[in-house]
Amino acid sequence: MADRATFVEDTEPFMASLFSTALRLTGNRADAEDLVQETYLRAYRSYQPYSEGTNLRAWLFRILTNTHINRYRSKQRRPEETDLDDVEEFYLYRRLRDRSDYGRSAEEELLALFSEAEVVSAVESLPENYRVAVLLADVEGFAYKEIAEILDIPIGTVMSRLHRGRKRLQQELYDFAVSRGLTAKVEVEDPLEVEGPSDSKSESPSSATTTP
Amino acid sequence: MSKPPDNSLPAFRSNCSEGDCSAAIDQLYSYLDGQCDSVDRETIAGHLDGCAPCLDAFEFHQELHDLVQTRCRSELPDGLREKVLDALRNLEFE
Repeated sequence: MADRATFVEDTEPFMASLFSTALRLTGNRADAEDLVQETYLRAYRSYQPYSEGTNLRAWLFRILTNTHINRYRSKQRRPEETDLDDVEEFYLYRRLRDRSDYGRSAEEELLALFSEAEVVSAVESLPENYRVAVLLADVEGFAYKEIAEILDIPIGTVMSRLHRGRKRLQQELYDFAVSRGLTAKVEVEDPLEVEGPSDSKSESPSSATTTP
Repeated sequence: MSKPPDNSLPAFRSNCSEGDCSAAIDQLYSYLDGQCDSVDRETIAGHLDGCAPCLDAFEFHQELHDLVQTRCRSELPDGLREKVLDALRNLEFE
């Protein structure tokens, strides 16, 4: 086993972001704290300090998500990937961009529009596979390739989950905006007019996947 | 909320060449995620310089990204660090 002081020194800087992710995965503080603790214990048991080319942060997130998935599967079953294919591209944008009070000059507009509780609730409502992808990309800033390694899935699948998760998130946020009376419900005439990135589940040869 | 549905949303790409816009929009997320190669990046950046509708869409999605990132971050709760350190210490005595 590695020297404890070294391990703590190396891994401690990532504890807050691991906790944030754990909180959005479990939905409550107590479980999130347990998940972080178990992640550290598991990591410590197999930690190799100074190993070349190791992405320590990605490795810790890999342990965290694996631990969560194992626990979660043994605890309860919730529906996984629901059919989200009917959510159109850029759902929120297409509905908010013409609001008279949404000005592109107002940088803080979106931030002001949605509370923390609403954003968190929208994220937590995502099916788990999509939620993990969105958290790792949008909150933690991992590259697609790193997410693929963390979750042990092909890059094409990362992109697909991320894409679907983001569409669904936009829909959830829009529903909050409508229910709070921030905007009238808008029907988009031709929702499929603008096509976004492909939903392909296979490895894509496009340049987007090759950045190291 | 009681207003009738507004069907007047105009298309995204209103006033520039369709091909360039759809190429840019296709790569919106790759671009914002920093996953485009340098050639694509330059092409898209060049397009955004001259296309207000696409720039608007890109800026909106960057803001949305920032919103999610800001709102989903939590501080480390009091005592968790100590709890983890204790657990690691105990592990050595097992």
